[in-house]
Amino acid sequence: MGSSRASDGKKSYKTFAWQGISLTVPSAWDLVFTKGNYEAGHVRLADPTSPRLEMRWQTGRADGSPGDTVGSYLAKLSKKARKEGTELAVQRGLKLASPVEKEVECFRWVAERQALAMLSRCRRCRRVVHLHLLGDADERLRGLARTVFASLRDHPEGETHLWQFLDVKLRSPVGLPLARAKLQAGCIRMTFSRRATRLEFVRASLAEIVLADRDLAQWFREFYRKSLKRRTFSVQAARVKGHSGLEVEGRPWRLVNPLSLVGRRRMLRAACWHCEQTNRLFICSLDGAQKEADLFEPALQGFTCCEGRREAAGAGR
Amino acid sequence: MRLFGKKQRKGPHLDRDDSLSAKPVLSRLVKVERADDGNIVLQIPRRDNAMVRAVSRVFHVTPYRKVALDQVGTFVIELCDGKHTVRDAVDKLAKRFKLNRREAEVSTSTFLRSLARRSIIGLVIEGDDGPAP
Repeated sequence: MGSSRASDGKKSYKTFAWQGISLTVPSAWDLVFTKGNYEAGHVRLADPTSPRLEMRWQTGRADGSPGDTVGSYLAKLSKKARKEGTELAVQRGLKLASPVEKEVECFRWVAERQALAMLSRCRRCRRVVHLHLLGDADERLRGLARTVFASLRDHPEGETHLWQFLDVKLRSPVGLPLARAKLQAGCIRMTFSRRATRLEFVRASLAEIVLADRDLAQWFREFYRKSLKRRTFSVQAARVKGHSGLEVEGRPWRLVNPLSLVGRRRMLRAACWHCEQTNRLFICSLDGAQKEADLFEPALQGFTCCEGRREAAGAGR
Repeated sequence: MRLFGKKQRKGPHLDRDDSLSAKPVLSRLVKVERADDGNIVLQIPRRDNAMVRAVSRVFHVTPYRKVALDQVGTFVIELCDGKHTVRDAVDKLAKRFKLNRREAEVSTSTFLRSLARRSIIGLVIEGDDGPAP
């Protein structure tokens, strides 16, 4: 069993945040699967050996109480277990967490593995979140479950959504939904868009190899070739977040965007930097109407590089 | 009943833990040389089949195929010595290049799987007699 299988409070924890939901989870757990959008979706977190947390959410639909939903879920699970010939033991009404402004029901099932689960419905945003903490049948999970379940936040407190996963930490404006998440080994690209406004965050690993035969400006021009097409732009060297970087400003060609002549101007702003501490390259860019230019600075400030790593190291101590 | 295509060979089934505990080892048939930049160039013997023989009658075909690795590939190949496990390689790669462990695991396992498929490396599994040639 991996060291991440924390069942006590001594292990280090970190925040995981996705689609407006945030949780405290052991440091060794990371995102391995995502599906859906803000309204409904599913994510899975795993430690180095096996899946550890399943989280499903649904926004806006709130039929019946959490107890009814748990009842129907467990009925389906029992039926499936009977078909497969597996013995399933269920315990309901556990007192693992009592978060404020939420109706919750906690329960446990044990088969070949066990799960401690919580179904919560927020009284404020009506969001239903179903958390499933998985472990071996004989594993002590209650302490961990209390920590994870009590830390659940299912809606943003301010004007931004926090996204924190795989050492990425960024903030997106509430009104700008996630359009595309490209999570590849070596490159993570999160694109948020609404109509013609597009806010993008990129984190590329292995910076020392990428920059071995080219400089940052060349890499940026190659990487952002498509986004820079048919645009007039300027790239200037600048310090970004204390690192050597670039500031990019541009606008579409007048022929491509004739509406700019009647005041509907479009702009491109981007910042790109090389964080030596984490050996990574970062890009934050905003492509949209001139009137939405004020989205850029908060987004750039919310996109952390080595600050997050220092925080994690501090929490682990 | 199979009508078309080759019969697929079934290898041993490995779960994730077995795969991470396996020790990759470079095939003895593969030659290793260093490029000027210090990175490894693998010389992989070509298959001696009818197609290669037919092509070699018309064109000059070298007996070895060269694969030049980058810095990351070189780092991983140097750990394919039969002593380090895949898990060791993942940990060392993550530490050396400051990668997230999950990122390092995905890229290392994909790379090693592609090498194993081409018989460039074999995997020593505990309780196994030895790697495939």
